[in-house]
Amino acid sequence: MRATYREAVRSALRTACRRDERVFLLGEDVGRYGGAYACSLGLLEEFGEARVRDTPLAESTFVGAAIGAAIGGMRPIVEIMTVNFSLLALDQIVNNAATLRHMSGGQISVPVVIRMATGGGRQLAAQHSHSLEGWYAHVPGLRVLAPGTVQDARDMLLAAIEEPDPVVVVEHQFLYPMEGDLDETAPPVSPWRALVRRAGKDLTIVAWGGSLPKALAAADVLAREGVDAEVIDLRCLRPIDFPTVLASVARTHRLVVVDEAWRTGSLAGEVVARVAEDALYDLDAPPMRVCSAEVPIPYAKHLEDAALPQVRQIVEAARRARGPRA
Amino acid sequence: MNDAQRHELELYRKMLLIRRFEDTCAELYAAEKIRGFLHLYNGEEAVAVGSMCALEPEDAVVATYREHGHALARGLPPGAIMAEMFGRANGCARGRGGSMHLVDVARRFYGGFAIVGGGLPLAVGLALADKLRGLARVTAVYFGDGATEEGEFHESLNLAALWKLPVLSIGFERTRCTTQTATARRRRSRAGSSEIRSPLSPRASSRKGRSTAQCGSSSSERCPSRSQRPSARPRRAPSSPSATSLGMSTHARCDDARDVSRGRALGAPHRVSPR
Ligand SMILES: Cc1ncc(C[n+]2csc(CCOP(=O)(O)OP(=O)(O)O)c2C)c(N)n1
Repeated sequence: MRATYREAVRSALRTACRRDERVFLLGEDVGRYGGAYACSLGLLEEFGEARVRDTPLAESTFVGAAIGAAIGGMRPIVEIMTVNFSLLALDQIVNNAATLRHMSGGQISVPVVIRMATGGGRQLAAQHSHSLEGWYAHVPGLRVLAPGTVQDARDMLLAAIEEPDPVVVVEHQFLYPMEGDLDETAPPVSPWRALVRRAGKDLTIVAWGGSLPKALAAADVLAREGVDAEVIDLRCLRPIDFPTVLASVARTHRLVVVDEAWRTGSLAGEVVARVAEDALYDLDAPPMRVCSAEVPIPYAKHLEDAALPQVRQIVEAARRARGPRA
Repeated sequence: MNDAQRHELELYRKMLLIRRFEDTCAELYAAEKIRGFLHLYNGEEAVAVGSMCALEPEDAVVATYREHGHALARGLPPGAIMAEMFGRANGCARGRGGSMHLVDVARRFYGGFAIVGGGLPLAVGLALADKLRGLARVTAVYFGDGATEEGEFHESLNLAALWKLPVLSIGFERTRCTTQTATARRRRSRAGSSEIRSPLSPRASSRKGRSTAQCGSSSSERCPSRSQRPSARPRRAPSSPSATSLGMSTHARCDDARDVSRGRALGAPHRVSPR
């Protein structure tokens, strides 16, 4: 069936609550309002106030409470409105959720799912538009998922709930209204694997989340120029499925990584570094990165468009990676 | 000896165990057998022992980085705690945590938390899990009065009260200079545990003869009331005063900082102050 990304998230939340009575939702506005992006619309009515809990505006504490409830035997799914606000809960996520299994010598398990919207493109300016998922992907003890399709929005969230360790799920805010195919009965693909979304032989474009549709659009443009690009959807940002990336680069010998975060200290840098470490001699050209301009994301439409990676830039990077046509 | 006396003796024995244990830690720290930071619990023994004797085994405990005393009072074997501080695989956290992160999930001792205030939200969550699961349990969370300056303290009290969670918040003013800066220089009003009872704060309450600072509510719609629960322990007031009043009566100890990590009490060879 056809569904939006937001409906797919809702479908996963509903399925999880029905399947497992340990699952409950919490966050600002998740109940009566149905979630900042309407992902939990109707769930309060279906599951009641005990399981769909509106919280005070206290990110650190409601995320910490979710972590505590996970330790106490529940399966909380906590929603943080945006990744920018999650910074107020960074202490709980990084110092508690991520550390406790290791630091307790394996005694404590933290099966919490932390969902948050990420990314720009909606003219929300610099305190609602950043892409900080790389910060979470930096931290051992966390798993980080970035679903980039409607099907993944459901499947990866359901997989996250099954995990015994904390999972951060980043949902690009631009994707919520996106339509796509959703099969609620299909056996899910493992969320920890990268997937080849478009096979090609001339160059590899790695993207994820909100950048995936842009990478696919760029591949279409390139196809019209006779360049056959392979698009890899990274999907899982920690741990990264490097074998899939390396296998692709071994076929195409050229790499472009699209990352909506800033280039300095980015995940794109990590992907390029790993390819350089493990497969430098597979490369026929320097790897390219397409990232956001190194500024706080601006408000004005033309400025924001200029700051974020666009299809045109991905195409240009691909052309450069291809070099002068032989 | 009657039951009450036996009970008192048992409490005293536990306090003495903590004191002897901490004195040994201090020596081993000076001998560089224990490394990292070491925060001693000397002088606060009554807080842990008195409050823990009011807890049942199925209740949960969340403590700070100054938690040897809490761990011992909760019944963690001294050997497992010491092994942890030696970084051994047979330590209570297999050597991953050290002095500040003692854990024993079987005893529902969820550990030492070394981020000031960071254990409070977690305790709220543990209590929430119990409430959602319909379990008549309490979560006790310990913190120093320095934690009351952190936002998580205020947020946690609010959330526990809002959701009517059985969280027992046990704050304690150990000294008036818990960091290198006197609390008087950090707070608007005179530092003292009485000020902790701000509008949101724990009320000193005496419930069933147990005297502890308390927030939230002990009962919830789902949990059977505590009084319906069987108890193996004598239900008389522990001889220790309430956590808050004890804080009041001991803050004169300010000067003899017992924090070995400050390198003051023992002139420890390496100064490893976290502050
Ligand atoms: C968030 C955070 N800030 C600062 C520190 C450094 N620090 C360690 S102990 C301490 C003092 C805490 O005082 P209090 O809560 O009264 O506890 P006490 O050490 O007196 O038992 C500080 C500031 C820390 N561990 N965590």
